Amino acid sequence: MAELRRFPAGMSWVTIGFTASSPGAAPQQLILRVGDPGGLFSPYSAKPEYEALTALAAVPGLPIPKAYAYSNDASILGAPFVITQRVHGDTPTPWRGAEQRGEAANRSLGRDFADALGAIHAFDWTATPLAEWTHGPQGTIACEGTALHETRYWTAHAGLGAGPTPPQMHYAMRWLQAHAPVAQRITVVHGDYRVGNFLQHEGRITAILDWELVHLGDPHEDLAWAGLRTFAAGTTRVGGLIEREEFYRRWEQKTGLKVDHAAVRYYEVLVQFKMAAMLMGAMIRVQTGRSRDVRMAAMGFQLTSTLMELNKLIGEAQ
Amino acid sequence: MNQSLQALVGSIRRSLREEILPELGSDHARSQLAGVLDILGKMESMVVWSPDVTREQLVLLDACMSDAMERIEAAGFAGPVDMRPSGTLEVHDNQVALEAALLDAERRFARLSDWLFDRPQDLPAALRDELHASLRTTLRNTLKAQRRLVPSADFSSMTAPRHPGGAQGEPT
Repeated sequence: MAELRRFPAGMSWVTIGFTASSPGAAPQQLILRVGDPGGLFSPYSAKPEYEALTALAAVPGLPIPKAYAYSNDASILGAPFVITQRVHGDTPTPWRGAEQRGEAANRSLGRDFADALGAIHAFDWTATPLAEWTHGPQGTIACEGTALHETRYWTAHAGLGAGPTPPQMHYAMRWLQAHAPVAQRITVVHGDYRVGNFLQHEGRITAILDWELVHLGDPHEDLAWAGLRTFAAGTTRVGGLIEREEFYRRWEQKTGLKVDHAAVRYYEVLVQFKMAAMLMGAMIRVQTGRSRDVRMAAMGFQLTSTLMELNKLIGEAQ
Repeated sequence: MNQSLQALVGSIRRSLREEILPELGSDHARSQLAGVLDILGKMESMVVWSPDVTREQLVLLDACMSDAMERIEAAGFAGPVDMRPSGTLEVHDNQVALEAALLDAERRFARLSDWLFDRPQDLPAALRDELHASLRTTLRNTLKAQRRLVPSADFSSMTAPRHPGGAQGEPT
């Protein structure tokens, strides 16, 4: 192993690039991702990311890195880890830069962005090892109840009820419980599908990254997350890339599903709740000394504006 | 619920001491950082949020709960129990007392929210919608007050490599 280099991006898994060589074989550029025990979503398991990348490798045209190995055995590197192919490209940021990329690049990236999500959601996972995931951390995942499962998951992550709870979070939790829709279909859900979590080269997506939140659920969760205003780089387009109508149209063509706009509005509330839960989790990690990453303390400052958006989205979904 | 300033300063100190200090090669930079750590250590127990914001949030929550209870009782319903404040707040109470009172008000507000969501059939639709709208407006106004404490964080800078040209091949 040579040329190890830790990348600064991300606040969850530690990402290290390296070159692996063995006698008689060409050197390979690889990525090692280690689940930092103090990371944003710790404690981690590397298994879901590895299993998802391995299963989805069968999907034609879906740009994902090849997964080579994983382990949750902490005696090896001190934490769970996964090793993947290193794909070349750069990472557009979700907060700005949509205008600088130019219209042609935004258009082609937007189409790739919609098509890749459609390909993930169209994937038949039932005859793969992912079928085991129906036994979720908060109970069985099925069309009826998947929204409640996600609500319970992020309620637990935020520690709601275990300590001081923002009243807006409590209200949102009750709203989500009261309005949970039944999913049309259970699909693989990326869980963090947005600009910033793919690599691009010359206006084409070369790899969809950051699969740590992958799970089974309602695909509207990914549609809502990808379309959040937070990730729109100040535009009205999804991810600052593609008009919402075109994004939905391409997704529908790929999946054979129809976008349920009421479900999108519900999931916009749920994913905003999820974002607030992530921020609360980061605050708790810093305040209890479980994380030394000061950027997590900075995340705590985002909680107020995130809760304001949550309040607004609930009003819009009424 | 506001982020603890004391915990925040503590986390900055930890990050500087454990993540930055070992990486510094210059003696001058190390001595400067030692000075910063000393000052932050002294500040840690001195910093509190503005009591004005806490007081404003408290007033907003209490006014909403009082109004809601009046409307519920006027409509002939028994509202949630145990909605009285656990203590009386004085004008000159310190930040610790204010924060305890806010925590108490937030717990009562959660009880009111629970009561409202648990009775979708019992309440007349118009009253239920009015109460939900009132609660959401109050929550929004308390958050607006809280936002005055919070500058924006620049996550682009926190996750970007030093040289933009070095982004080639770098995942998040």
